Amino acid sequence: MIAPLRLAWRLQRWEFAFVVLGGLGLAAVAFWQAFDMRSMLTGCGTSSAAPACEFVYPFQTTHGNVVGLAQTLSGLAPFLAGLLLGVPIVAGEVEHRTALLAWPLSGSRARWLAWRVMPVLAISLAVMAVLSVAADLMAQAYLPKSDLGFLHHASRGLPLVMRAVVVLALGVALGALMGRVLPALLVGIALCVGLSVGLGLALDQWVPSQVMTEDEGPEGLTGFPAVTDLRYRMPDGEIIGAQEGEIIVEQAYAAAIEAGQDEPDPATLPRPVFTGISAARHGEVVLRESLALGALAIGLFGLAAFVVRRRRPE
Amino acid sequence: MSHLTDTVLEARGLTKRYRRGVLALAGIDLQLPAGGITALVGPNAAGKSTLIKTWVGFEKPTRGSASVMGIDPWRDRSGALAKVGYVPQSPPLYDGLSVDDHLDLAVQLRPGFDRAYAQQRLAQLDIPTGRGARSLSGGQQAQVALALALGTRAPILLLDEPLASLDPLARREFLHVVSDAVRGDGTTALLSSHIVTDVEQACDRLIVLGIGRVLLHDTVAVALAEHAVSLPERPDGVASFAAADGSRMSLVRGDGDRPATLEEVVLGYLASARSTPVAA
Repeated sequence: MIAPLRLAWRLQRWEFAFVVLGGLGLAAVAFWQAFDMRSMLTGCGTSSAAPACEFVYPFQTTHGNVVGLAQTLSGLAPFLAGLLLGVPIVAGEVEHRTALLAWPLSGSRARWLAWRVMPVLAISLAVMAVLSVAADLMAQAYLPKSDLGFLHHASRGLPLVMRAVVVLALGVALGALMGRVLPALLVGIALCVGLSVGLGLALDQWVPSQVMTEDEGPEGLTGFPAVTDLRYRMPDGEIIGAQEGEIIVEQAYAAAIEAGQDEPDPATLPRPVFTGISAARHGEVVLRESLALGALAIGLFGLAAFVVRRRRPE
Repeated sequence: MSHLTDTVLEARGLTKRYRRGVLALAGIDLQLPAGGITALVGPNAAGKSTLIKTWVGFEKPTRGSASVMGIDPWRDRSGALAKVGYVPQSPPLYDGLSVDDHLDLAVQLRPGFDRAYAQQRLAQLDIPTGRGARSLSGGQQAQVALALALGTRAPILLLDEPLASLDPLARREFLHVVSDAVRGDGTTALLSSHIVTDVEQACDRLIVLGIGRVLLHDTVAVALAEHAVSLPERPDGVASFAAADGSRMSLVRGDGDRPATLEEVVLGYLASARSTPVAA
């Protein structure tokens, strides 16, 4: 494994340097923030103002900005790493005509592709795994007594790693299809935006949304659910849509004013409720989403292999 | 399988038409026996590269078939490539890799790659293997690509215009290494070029390709023995063409005013192709 890794490094040294240094640098910042935050909160725990410390300190110090930036970059990292490492694997070889040398030498193009992809995948997985753990620790340190649930879902833990894998596969496939690095990168960026938005919208495809009780709501302290919709619950328990509920509330207020009252009887009004996935089911969503992304990555690698098998090397 | 037992490269009615309608190969029939060096000669766009790339499995025939030791390279590319060492035009070596790295890469990619043999070839030419491959001269880069092809220990070498960008000394050294490998290992080499004088000394056989057709295929010795030059030109000749001094001459089969040089044989057949439109 050493020789393929060494050669892969030399073949894509700038991309590797960017991803490894960037990824591990970001992970280092996240680890530092996590431990710094823990130390601070531990310190607060001994003072008389402990509850205030827990919730106020992180938000009112510069840590909040660094943590926010690190979380944003952690969310972007799998997309950047996947495209930067994946696209040049085939497109770079075709663009620089080195496929003319490598493909006949290898005989089997599938073997060549596997030989090129495996070290890149290994490095990418290792860097993203470290980053995902660091981002997870940072997020947990920030809110030590909360079930993080869906908070920063895509920028920590397994979802971050799986996004890196699927984007790497997408990059390889795009590079194979287009045979040019820059156009494939541009198309890849557009597709990644679509993928990111699509995965966000698809959360309730993995487990169905349900009406959440108040203590599961986003204001609650027990966790961060994935809120997918706002609805209303009628006094008889029936769930109605947000628009319909707002109309009923408006009509109730209008009727109360007409009757000379300040406001309608609260017991007759529909109450807003959230629908979504509770924080407790986050693990289930992560597992199902990861399986789907894994299957997508395998499909994209398969597509890349199919294209490489049939395409001209220049 | 009807091909001759010692045929290593074969084309049967091989036609290749590119998407934009360009006809690169127009129904080529060719059988290349094992051993020796065959020069594949023709002008630019004659179809030399396309023919070689079809044997390497880069191009799918539009009609007809190609085979490498009886294996169809489009249907069983791995099987065909196991028999072939290929040197592409303007050897595309990797920017970030040293010569040693290229040898390591070949070991990784090609089962049974003979690194020691390739390294020995390079050492004989004093090529520094620790240096970046792209920092070497054009001749040295061509030698590295040749060493990679030779290290495969494949029975067939396909060399796609490797001499085109080399200076005369580098061309001679390259041909010397090819000759050495062919004579020493019994390899069969097919060397495409449009520079006839370079291949004259090194090659045993000659294929003249023009506008996608085989115009002549014979041993160099027979081609020279059977052709002569007539001054002035004769209507019954293979074709007429201009000499270096501007006078007209004809290439004829049989007796003429003097024996033809290999360059004149090639020029005569290429001129004949120009006067005969291709039908595909």
